[in-house]
Amino acid sequence: MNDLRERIARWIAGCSEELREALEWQFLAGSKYFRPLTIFSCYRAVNKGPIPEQIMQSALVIELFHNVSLIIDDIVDRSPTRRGRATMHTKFGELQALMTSGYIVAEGYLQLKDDLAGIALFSELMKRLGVAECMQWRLRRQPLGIEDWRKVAGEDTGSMFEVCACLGDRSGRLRTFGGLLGLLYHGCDDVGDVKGLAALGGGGEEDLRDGILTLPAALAIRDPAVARIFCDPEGRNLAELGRHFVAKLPEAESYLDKIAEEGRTEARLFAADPAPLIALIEQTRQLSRY
Amino acid sequence: MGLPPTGQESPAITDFVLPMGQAMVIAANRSLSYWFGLAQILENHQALMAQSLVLDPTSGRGPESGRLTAADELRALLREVGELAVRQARILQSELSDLDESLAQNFQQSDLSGSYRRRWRSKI
Repeated sequence: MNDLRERIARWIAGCSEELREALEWQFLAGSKYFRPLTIFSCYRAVNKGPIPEQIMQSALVIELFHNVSLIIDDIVDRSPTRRGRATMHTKFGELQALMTSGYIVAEGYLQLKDDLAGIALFSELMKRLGVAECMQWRLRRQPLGIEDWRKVAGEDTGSMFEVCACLGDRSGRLRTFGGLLGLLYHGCDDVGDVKGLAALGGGGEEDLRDGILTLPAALAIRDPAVARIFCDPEGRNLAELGRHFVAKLPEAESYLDKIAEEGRTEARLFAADPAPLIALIEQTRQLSRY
Repeated sequence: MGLPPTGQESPAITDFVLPMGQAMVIAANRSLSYWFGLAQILENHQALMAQSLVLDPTSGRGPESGRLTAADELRALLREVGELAVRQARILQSELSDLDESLAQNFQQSDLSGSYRRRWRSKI
């Protein structure tokens, strides 16, 4: 991870002076590097020996692309802060935030050099993230179910971790594992938000306000009375809606336990060494338990 | 028409009949695992769907709520059946690939010149 941190700092130092301050603000704020860790763990699950250069490059680029998704999310959600600091658009303005995110994507592809399989995977990721964001917004304030939540989360965070797994193992064997890890991460994020935690970097007010289908929401709106509050276009009674979501937390936690078990089974079936993958599952599962 | 002399049968049996037998055992195992998994999924969801369709007098939930939950359960069942089929197919592919790999390794053992030795392994 230190190597990755140094690579990011070196990359920023070589970027345009015009955007350098914004890039430093975004990248040197202390990331969890969970996506690069997923790439490394998936590599370790099927290979032995030191991490090769191509995998290090992939880890750098996934961190770049992940930050693009954060910048765009923050603009769309109108979030003033992330991880306790001002978001990029709040600090530097929307124009610079949007232009910087385009710059990062172009730089990411340049960093991949001749890694054609990596380029294909990152292209898949950017396309799926774009589709997922639009789908999530289109499906807001609708009385949908858990299966719909799985689809949205699977395309959103799920696609990110699916691609991480493929970048790490390079054979496609761990793709399903990656998808399940992403689903678990998304669900823990949803539950953590309802618990009002800062552990994952944000509160849940935006999702509640915008009528986003989170895991606790999908469980709570099975009750038609709660569904009516959730679907209200004026967004009235948000406090009451929040209480219904809180009441569904035990059920949401047990659903997350099921996803975690699916992930462990997948790791045991398809990894030569499942230990690093199971460690990822345990680490992710803890995110909603603080 | 007729069988080749007895002395030439042994290598053919070792090289082809035995691996074919192993492949059939692998396929039969996967098939059994699939049906067993299918029975488990159906059992789990039957109980949950029945529960959700029965009106709970203590919670006061109406039939509409039960229908929504049952629909979600049915969709989960369909997804799980599909996932089970794909997972079993992937395991089958992986097991057959291992068999293929061991066959390839066995065949190249007779080649003693190191320069032609097979050095790669199947990725799947």
